[in-house]
Amino acid sequence: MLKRLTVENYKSIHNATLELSRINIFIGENGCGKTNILEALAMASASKALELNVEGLSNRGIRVAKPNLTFSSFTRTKPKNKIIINLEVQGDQDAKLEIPSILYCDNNDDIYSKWKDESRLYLIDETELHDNNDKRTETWLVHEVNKLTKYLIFSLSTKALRGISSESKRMPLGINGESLDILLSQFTETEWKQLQKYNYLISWLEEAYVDEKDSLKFKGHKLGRSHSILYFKDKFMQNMNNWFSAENTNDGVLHVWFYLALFISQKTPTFFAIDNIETCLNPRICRTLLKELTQLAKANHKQVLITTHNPSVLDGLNLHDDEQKLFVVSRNDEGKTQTKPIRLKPKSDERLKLSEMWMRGYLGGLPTNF
Amino acid sequence: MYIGIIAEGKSDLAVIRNILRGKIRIDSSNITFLQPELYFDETDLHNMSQEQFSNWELVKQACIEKHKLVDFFSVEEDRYIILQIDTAEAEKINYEVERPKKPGNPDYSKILRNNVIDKINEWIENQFSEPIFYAITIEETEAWVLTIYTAQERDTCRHNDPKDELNRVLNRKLSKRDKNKILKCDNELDKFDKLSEKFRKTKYLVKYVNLNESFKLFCESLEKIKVE
Repeated sequence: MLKRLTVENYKSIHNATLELSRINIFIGENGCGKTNILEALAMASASKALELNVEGLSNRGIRVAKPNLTFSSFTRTKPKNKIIINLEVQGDQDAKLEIPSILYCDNNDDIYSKWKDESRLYLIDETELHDNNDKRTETWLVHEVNKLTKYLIFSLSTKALRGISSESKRMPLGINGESLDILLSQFTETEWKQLQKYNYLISWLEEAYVDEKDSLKFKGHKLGRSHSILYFKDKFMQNMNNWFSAENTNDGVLHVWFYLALFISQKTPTFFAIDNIETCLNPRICRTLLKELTQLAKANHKQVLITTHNPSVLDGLNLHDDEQKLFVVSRNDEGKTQTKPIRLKPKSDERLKLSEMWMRGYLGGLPTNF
Repeated sequence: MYIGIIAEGKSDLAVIRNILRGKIRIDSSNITFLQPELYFDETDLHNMSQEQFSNWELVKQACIEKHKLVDFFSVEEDRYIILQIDTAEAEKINYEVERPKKPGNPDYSKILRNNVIDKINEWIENQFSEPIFYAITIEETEAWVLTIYTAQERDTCRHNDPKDELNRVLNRKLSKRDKNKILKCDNELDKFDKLSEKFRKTKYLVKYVNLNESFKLFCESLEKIKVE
């Protein structure tokens, strides 16, 4: 598991170090650098997978810009032409591995310029690491770097979830929500059972169904703009007239089902990020979903970084559990991104929900200029 | 380190923030506004006047209820609260602070400040071991801002209506461009942030505090804060 992340000279991050846990939530005002933290990890991921080209970066969810705009740029600070990302991962029995990335480009004004990594550690194939001219095959090391190379930033769009757009070709799930139906069709019986336990999150939902032969399309269940074969049954409607295609169903259920599939499946990455998890979700669903996803992450050995602007997400977080952390991200008076973990006193008299503490300004992460 | 400010109004928040930046070199991202920010929603505000959501009575209410202070201090971190209140209405019912004789009294600000602090501690029932600092603005925060613009070397607290005096001085002193840019600004926070931005610089701040005793006493009290 990734325990410590250090980022230098990446976009708004001049220099930041974070001690991470299993579930890591990031809050802060718009443009404070939350997504830049997720992206820095994606840069390291692309590097170790030898995919430091525009496709390799954008396929992971990075907003690609020319190198001069990717390096930090602050008034009164001399610009540097290298991004340093250092990851400290911890294996079983406290074994540790440093995964450095020192990234640079030959042409800093060319958006298509291929990035290079000065550090000599990368994945050769799924069983071997190249480390300063040595080959390393220790299982846990290879496993940890493998996990990193599969890291993605998920940022869902309703069109992709509906199967109307398919910009991301990532498998088994696209970074915008693509291919949910295909992954669900591959679910084992155990995974389906696990998934169905969460039907309660959507009050009208009876069950979900993957129409593998796509036969409902020909019975007027969708116009066919979407290629998704996922359907949801409404418990309040009359039999035979109660199946909604992904093309027509409401946005919330698609988002919830995507996250559940991501956390349940053994085929999805074990280390990933979600940008703006609250999109399209009711506040109460946000709270309970986060609680359930945390349990699933523990059961299925996933580590995740999540950004949100919805205070109710915080109410699903238990800050007295060491596996759950909350970070407030802000920019200082020079515009540099900084992060701060929030810990509550063990026996505090605090009587507010975390969501209320955030909204009242007790945690930070709110604009103060108006 | 994280500092929360409970103040009468947004203009006071802006001034205190600039003072903190100049006095203890704290970054503004480590300062948060606990009051009056976000206390009411737009539906509440619809039926309220400016005075109802921005005055000393709300500061008193926060002290008596204590929730804001308890909840703010519940986070594991070096945290401090600044309570700002002015003294223009100190004699009013429910405030009821004894005002010492003013003309020719060199200890006027010191005595009045101590009386208000005693009153605040009465409101919060001396319940907090956490660090609380008192920004007692005599008679109003505008008197502190006036130290930047006044041409006179005397304590700015002598003005019975510092708001009026500040406006008069600014109208005389500011260029037409600055008058349009700053004085006509609708956002009180922004306006007073700009008007008091010189407080952010320690070298200016040390000069200005000498023109207002209550300002000086507040800044001296901040020296107890451990700067990281």
